[in-house]
Amino acid sequence: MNIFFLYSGPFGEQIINTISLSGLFTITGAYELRPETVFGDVLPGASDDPDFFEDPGKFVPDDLPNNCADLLIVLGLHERLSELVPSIAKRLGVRSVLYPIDDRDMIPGAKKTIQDELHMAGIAIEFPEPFCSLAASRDRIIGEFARGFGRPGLEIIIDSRASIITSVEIQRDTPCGSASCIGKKLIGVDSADETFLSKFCYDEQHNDEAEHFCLAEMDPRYPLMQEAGDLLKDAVFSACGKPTTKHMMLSILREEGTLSADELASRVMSNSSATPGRGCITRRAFDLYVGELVRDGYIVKDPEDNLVILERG
Amino acid sequence: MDEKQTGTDERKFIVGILLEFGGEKIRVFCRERIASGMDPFVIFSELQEGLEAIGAGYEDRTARRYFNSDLIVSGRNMKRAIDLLKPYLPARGGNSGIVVLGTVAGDVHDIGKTIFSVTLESEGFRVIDLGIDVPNERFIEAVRDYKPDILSMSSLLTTTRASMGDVIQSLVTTGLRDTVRVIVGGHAVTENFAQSIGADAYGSDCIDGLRKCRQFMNEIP
Repeated sequence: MNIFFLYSGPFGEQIINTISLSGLFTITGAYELRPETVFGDVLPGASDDPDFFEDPGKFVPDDLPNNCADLLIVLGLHERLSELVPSIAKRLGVRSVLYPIDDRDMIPGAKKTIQDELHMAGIAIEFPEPFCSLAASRDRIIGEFARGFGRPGLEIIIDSRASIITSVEIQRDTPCGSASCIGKKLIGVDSADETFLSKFCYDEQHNDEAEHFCLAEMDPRYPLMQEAGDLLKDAVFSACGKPTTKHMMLSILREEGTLSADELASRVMSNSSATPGRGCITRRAFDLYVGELVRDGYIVKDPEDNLVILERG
Repeated sequence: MDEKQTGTDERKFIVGILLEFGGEKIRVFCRERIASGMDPFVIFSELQEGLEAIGAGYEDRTARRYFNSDLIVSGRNMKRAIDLLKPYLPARGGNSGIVVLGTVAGDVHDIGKTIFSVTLESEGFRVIDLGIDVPNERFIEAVRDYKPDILSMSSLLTTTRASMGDVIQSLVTTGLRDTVRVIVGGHAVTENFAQSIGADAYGSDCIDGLRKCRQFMNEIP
């Protein structure tokens, strides 16, 4: 599969670097598109530039190639430039677009317009938020990409006598490369102490002295970095055969039968990555897990929106 | 080219260095300036201006030129610069005073704290750096255990700065408040906020913070 990147800044550089070095896909090009490339040094407000608003396609840089990729990945583009994405996707001849959101400011202002315009052109688009939550897709191209990168997946071997992690294989790396980076550091770690293992995962995930680390937004009001930490911690716990947040949710629901989402969340969530328990630390991850448990037929939501276990015992 | 344009170009150049993912440019930049005999504090100051430009581009919600990831990468490059420049800072004896410092709970930003720590050490303070995302009770334990002259807390996020007030309250309830001077700083902190939570001082930048720490030490009998 051929991939073309449209990016801006170090967020894009880190992800392109990780995906390129994996050798899983053919990279046909990477184009850094900055506001000054299109607008010059003074960025106009949306209403100050009617030409751009009416026909953003006219502002697509001439030096972008034609028909060169199956998948376009948009990384850290300035919000005003997002309106160029449909025209650029058509120019590149791609069949699918991945537009990850790892920061509130990456959310394109004209998201619906972009979706509609690409849909009319027969091009699929998805906005994984954060990028490492991407696990599967109905779209064949995005699905193929998601087998290599997205939600972390590991295979871990533990010395059964000493509970020490002796081998880590990355089945699916995070696009930023933090999962494989942490995987190397897990070798030699004692897996018996779950609190330590949990804290290790959260600390290393945003350790900016590591070669690869999470670059997502960390504001507590929009905790994408923390959610990425939850996904990584649960991937490591799952690979170590330890109870994940989902296991805890099911275990509590098996005892109780029915609980409100808030009550269940209060019983599995920890307050902070500084003092993590065994569950997740973000409501975002909790809600993602609820959706997956509903989708996979473990639980249903009753008319009052309570969570009900489908098989008890 | 006029002086203003030269200044703008220089800042763009430094911003570009700070935003490079690999970090090679910042190493070359620091080595070349040190080789030319430049004072490391002047180099810090140049880089600080670049960081402030990135911070301003992040804060400007209409322009939105920079993301959180740009702050993180520029912070990492600043730390690389600190590591390179630290050996060239003037070494002093460690008897100016003891400072416990850390970034408050929920906040993993540490570049301002790290620069402040280096500045204090170069001026002879003994620094006990508690790191980032420090739980409130950890600050209290450290004040009890290390008996510092000064407690310094930083916060980059308005959503986490309230912890500073909580720590000061805990110092009061544990009877430790009178044993230590408290200085607060970081992007989310203002002079008014510092006063409102009962801090003894606000440091607008690391040089201002250093000046106030020296002042505290002069006031201690």
